[in-house]
Amino acid sequence: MDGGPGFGGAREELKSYLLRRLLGLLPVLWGVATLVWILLFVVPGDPAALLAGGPRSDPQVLERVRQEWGLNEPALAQYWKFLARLARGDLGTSYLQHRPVSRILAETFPATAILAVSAILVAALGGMALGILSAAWARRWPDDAITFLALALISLPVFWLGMMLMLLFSSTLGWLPVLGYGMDGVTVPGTPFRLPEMKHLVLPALTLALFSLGAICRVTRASLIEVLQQRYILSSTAKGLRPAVVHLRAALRNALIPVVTVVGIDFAALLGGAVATEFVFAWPGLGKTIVHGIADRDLPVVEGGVLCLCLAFVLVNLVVDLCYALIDPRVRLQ
Amino acid sequence: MNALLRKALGLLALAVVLPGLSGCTSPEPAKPKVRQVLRMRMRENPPDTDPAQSADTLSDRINLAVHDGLLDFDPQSLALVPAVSESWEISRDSLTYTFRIRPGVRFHNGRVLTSADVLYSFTRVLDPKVNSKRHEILEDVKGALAFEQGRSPSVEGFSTPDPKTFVITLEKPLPYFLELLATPAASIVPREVYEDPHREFLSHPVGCGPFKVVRWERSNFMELEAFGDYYQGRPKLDGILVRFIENPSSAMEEYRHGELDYMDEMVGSETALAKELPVDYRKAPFMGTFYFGFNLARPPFKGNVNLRKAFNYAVDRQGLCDQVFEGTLTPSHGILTPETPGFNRDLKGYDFDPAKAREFLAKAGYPGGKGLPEMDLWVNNNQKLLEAAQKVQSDLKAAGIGVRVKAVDFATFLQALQGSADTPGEALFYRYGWNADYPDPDAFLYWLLHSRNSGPAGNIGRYANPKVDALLDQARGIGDLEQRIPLYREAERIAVEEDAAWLFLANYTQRVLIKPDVKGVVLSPLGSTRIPLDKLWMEAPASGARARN
Repeated sequence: MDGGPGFGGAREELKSYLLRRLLGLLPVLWGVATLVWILLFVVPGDPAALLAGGPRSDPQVLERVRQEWGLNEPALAQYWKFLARLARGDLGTSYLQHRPVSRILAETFPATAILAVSAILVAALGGMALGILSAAWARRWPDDAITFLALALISLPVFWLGMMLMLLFSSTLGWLPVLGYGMDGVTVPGTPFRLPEMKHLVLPALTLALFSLGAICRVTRASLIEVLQQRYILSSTAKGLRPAVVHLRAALRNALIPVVTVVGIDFAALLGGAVATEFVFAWPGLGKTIVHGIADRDLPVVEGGVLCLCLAFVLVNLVVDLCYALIDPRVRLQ
Repeated sequence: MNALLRKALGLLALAVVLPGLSGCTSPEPAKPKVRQVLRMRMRENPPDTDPAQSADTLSDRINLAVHDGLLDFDPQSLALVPAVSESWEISRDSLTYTFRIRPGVRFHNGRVLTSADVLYSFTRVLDPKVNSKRHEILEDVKGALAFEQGRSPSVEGFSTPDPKTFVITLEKPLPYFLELLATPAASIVPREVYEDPHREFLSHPVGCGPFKVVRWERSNFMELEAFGDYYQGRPKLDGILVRFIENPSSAMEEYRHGELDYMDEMVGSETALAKELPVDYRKAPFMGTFYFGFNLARPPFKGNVNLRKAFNYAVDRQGLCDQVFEGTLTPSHGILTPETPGFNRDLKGYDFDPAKAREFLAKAGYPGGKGLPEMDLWVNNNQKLLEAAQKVQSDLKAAGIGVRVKAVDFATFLQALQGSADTPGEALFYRYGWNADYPDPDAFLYWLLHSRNSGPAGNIGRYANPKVDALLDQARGIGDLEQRIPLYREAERIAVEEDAAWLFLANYTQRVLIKPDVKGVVLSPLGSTRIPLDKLWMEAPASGARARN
């Protein structure tokens, strides 16, 4: 057994760990920024042509647009300017909206984040609950039923599922709004961001949650079944503890590590992968904004959006790693 | 700040509702005033809320609701009607236009509009710093070019003798100049708002049109409110709620659910839609042409008119319109649509005739299609366009011509077609379309056929025929439309029958869904952006939902 550092030592350890992880972010962000920049540079399609009127663009207007945005400069000069801008913390200005990208992100990222957080909460709680039930009745009919449901949820395309939920809960039953973000909702003080109306959040969050819910359910089940076969569980049962207590107190905590991993990865994936849901439910989120940015070749918006998602992804992973230590004291942060 | 803004908006809303409540003091029992708000769907945010840049249907729709110009089109007859200018005179030599500004026109910020605002707005369209996509509407004004090139600090041809008079002098006569002044780019905007270097006006446009923008949450909704001081009288609607719903299937559900009063760009089977919503579904002619273009600057189409004729005879236009477009497109024999002045009913064009197609293919030097390299048929990603391309592909194959359908995103598509001003694009064969901005044959023929507009300006196929150029130039110099029409007809005939400049296919129609209780709807041949929003009203709002919006 490791004697372990004292309480203060643990705090120091955590601090240096966090510092190292955060510093490690920089090369990741640089790498992603460069990759996105190269991809957007080599992809065909001229942003200036779209800005200058698309199907009918005056050559003179086109030329001025190119000059305004520096699009006729050599590739390396453009890349260098892009990096210099990023280093100053400036994400640039949208070609199309003529507004700072940071403002566009401030409006759209929270909408996606709220959707993803709600979805992951539903998915984690629902998935774990079903996973526990499934493990408790392993290889009996409730397990089969839950497994079937979980696999179905994993395999259904989000786009289709969203439309079906919309048809059922809105068009047929009339319980919830068909789509949209609502118009009322509280504005977060000091920001341009307004919270969605609750009733508008339900269907998109559920649509987004169901895919992950299936996966979390399967992982919880497998992990729990594995732990339940450990000797200490058998001895707990032999000592006469009630099965429910064994399941929830002794086994679940140890079974949680892989579940937390999946929840973390899924949450990060939901942030970037919410676009289909945003599309179906007309949700004014970041995913849709990036996709539009790609279609319109609004390069600063795509670059800023992807960097924002990348940052969120890395930070979520960091939180997941911290959670490991919280769940299992044997895990050391190194 | 936000809270303050919300309070202010709340008060503003109250101010609009209050007059309706004034009935409380009268002996008549007061009926609760239901706010009449038209809820319409738009695919996405308008890209350009600066009218000087308005060049697409989404931007045009918003800009036409918020702004007004000197003149307007009657949506149905397309005759010019007074707007900010109450009357105008044209000099004998057709060079000087004198506009009398209507008294009492106010901007949404309360300020009275004067001729100085017209001067500012029109100069702005020509300003190289603004870089307007529509600067060509004023390019024929005297001194416009000198101003654009920085050789002159102002535009010589604009003058404001007094606050109520605005005078424009042209370099040379332009018969449809007034029509150009009725396009959204010629809107009058207040200087104090549009001089902002931070371009706040893009988020908060201010005009003198029937509706003002009160709230815009991008990708979510835009709230327009009736402008009480509108010079043509306050609109009957209290407001318009524009909702941005990109997915057409979702928008259809929202419409069926009663949460939208108006939408266009529907998907799915037209026949089924017309059957499901027979009253709501409306179809009307539209000044737009749908064609498949040839790259005339590169082989095999370059210099091979027989090959181009073979393509034209090989395709079954009626089949395309009926099978793929379910009657929402109508077959065409030429370029101008039936609603466009100068439309030529006698233009023969090309009928579906596979035997003739094979004959011309042989004449072109490719008997049975032998030796003709298989080329790509470029379309931008869109289900209907893809189906249309496949139909054309199968018709061509039957005549011995092999093409591959290549579907790409719009930006890639545009680049492949347009190339640059000097270099033709790589696409040899591509789908294309053109909508008229003003009701004149010039709006099609000059842009699509004149060699001056080769490349991105409109003549994508780089068609060049000195005879056609001369006819179009000559027509531009004649004032009387009736005298110009024979010239346009001859230009069109040469391009179609002699040169087979592209694969002539069909005319567009417009289709919209409008709830039956929305009254006053007029579908203009210039498109649904020209529905007169300020003249609409609602007969019997179906539910209280409308009041809440």
